[in-house]
Amino acid sequence: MRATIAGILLFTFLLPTLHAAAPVSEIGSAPTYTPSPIPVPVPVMTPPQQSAPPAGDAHYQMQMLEDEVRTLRGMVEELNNEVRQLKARQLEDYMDLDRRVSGLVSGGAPASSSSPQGVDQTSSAVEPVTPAGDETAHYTNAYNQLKAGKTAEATALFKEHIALYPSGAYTANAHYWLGEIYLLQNKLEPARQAFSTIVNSYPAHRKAADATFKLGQVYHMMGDNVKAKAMLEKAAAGNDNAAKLAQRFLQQNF
Amino acid sequence: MRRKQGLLISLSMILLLWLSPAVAEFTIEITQGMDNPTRIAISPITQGGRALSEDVSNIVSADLERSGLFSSIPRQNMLSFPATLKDVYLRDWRILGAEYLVVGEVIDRGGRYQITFSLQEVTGGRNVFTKVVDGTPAQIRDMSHHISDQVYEAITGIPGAFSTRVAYVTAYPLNGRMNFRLMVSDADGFRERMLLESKQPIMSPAWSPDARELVYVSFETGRPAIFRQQLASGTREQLTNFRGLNGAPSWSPDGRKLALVLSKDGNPEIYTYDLTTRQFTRVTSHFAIDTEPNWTPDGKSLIFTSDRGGTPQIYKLAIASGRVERLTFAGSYNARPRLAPDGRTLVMVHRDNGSFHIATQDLVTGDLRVLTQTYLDESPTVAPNGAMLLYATKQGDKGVLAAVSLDAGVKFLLPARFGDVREPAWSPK
Repeated sequence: MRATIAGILLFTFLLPTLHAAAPVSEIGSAPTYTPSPIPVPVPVMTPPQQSAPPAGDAHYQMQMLEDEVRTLRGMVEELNNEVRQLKARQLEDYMDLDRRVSGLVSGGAPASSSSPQGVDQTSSAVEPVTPAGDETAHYTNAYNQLKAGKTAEATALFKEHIALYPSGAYTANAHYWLGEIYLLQNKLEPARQAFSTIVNSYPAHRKAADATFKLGQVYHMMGDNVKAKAMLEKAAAGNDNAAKLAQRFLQQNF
Repeated sequence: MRRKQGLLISLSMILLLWLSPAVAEFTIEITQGMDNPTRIAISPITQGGRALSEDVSNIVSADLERSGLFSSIPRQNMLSFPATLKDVYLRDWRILGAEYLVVGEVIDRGGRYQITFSLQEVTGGRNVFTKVVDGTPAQIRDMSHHISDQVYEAITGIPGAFSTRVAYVTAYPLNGRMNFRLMVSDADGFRERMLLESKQPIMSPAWSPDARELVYVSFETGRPAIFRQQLASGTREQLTNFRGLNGAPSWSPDGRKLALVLSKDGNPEIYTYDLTTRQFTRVTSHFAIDTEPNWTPDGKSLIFTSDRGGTPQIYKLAIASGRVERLTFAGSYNARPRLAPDGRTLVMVHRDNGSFHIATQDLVTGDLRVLTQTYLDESPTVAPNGAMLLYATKQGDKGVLAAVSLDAGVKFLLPARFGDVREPAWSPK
């Protein structure tokens, strides 16, 4: 009993210094404090929570300090977490910027950062070949709308493109971007249809591997993990960018 | 101090809420399944047309349906009952829209049953596998669950967890007093067995990694004490008898140690207990409450709940270095941590707008996902294949078990026919 009281007194004396200087986390491990033997003195006449108990009540002060330390510790932990997140985000932003700048320098189209997981580094979708002028212009216009973030206009134009040039050079691309837009808007069924069209009707197309991966993602989001897995494994079997993404997605989700 | 009293009060509240008759025998109500489940047909598996004492095909289809990933074709719709692959006419099954077909037959080999079973892909006409399982007539359910595991894994790529068991506590009033029972049943709720009956509360059952023993807290000595009990023999041993709290035991993945909570030194702290040397080692030291320890799959760390940061949150302790790291930051209440077998998905009780739900947090990305919408959800326990978790919740004023898949796509309730069920613990195998 005497040792306990001495410990508490020591702790009470030490605490203000610790409080000022040491990091919060160290306080917890320092004292060997046993709270149980001393009953909490409760004033009989007044409710204990509202009015301050007698000054110099070591136990009460101790409780206040413990609460205070806990609150401060919580704040430090939360701030630490925020700093960690900010650092990670900063690195991500930098990488994104770097990617886009190097895209510009090498003369290609800027990598689209519109896709939610930075998934689309494959988006130099403006074909180098130039077939019929109108067709290319129409497709480029639609694609530019998408790049400008005007998804509604882009959706309409891509649909129009598919209707105008049902077997054109960019029809598969138009399907692909429609799929991307729907996926972005979380319209899973239309997205599934768009990506399925590419997988089924343009299996040899340049976008087919990406579409297979995206279709896997869509099935996963729809909850159909059996089909999702089949598609992702198909995409993962290649050695292109889509394959890497599919492998990573499979690792993380299956 | 105030917080500690609060915890004790809520503990006794939970005990009080427990009052209603028990004896669990589950029925399963699927409340949410996949939008597009795989259609599978299980042709009757018999001994040359003679049914066994338990219907193998029914057990298998019930298992698969309960996963939420499958819908099975009713027997009365089947056009034929093939027992082997050579009797299968794929057209019969394509008409029914079946994507997969399971056929099998039983042979009696001197008192032991041998079941040969095959999985056939109907759409492509491919034979996926043909396998054999054997066992005594008393093991028909074990053999059936084995078939379910094999079929499930072949189609989904995830190991099945149908051969596992669940431990839980039931409580009901008897002659004006509460009666508590520690029970173990198959994962489908059948073959329920009582391990212990007591007039005093039983809490926190946890499995040994070999699934042959349980540890739990029993108040039968007048205060909480931790016991260890073998399932097969029923032999039990009291491990702790300290003043104050003796609680929340959790078995280490290598089977050699327990993590548990003792308040013998003043306030609740986490200890490890070496089952061979019988040594207790204190691993946390903080004036806040440290409780609900659980091992990470590599056995090197413990995750636990602590209010050292002002609110209950989940922390991770590296046992060798003693380094403590906070894991949860969303909201003002996260408790009862469990890790999925991948070691990456944290499962916990999360308070969301004032109500308690089961949530997962991806420890790499930090993404939090609330899985349940039921009322007063608690005690999550993850299946060994990481596909589903069981938890305790309230239906009306009754304590029931419920299950949800870790992607939240499948949900079902396991209401006991009578009384209150609490604190499920899914066996590790």
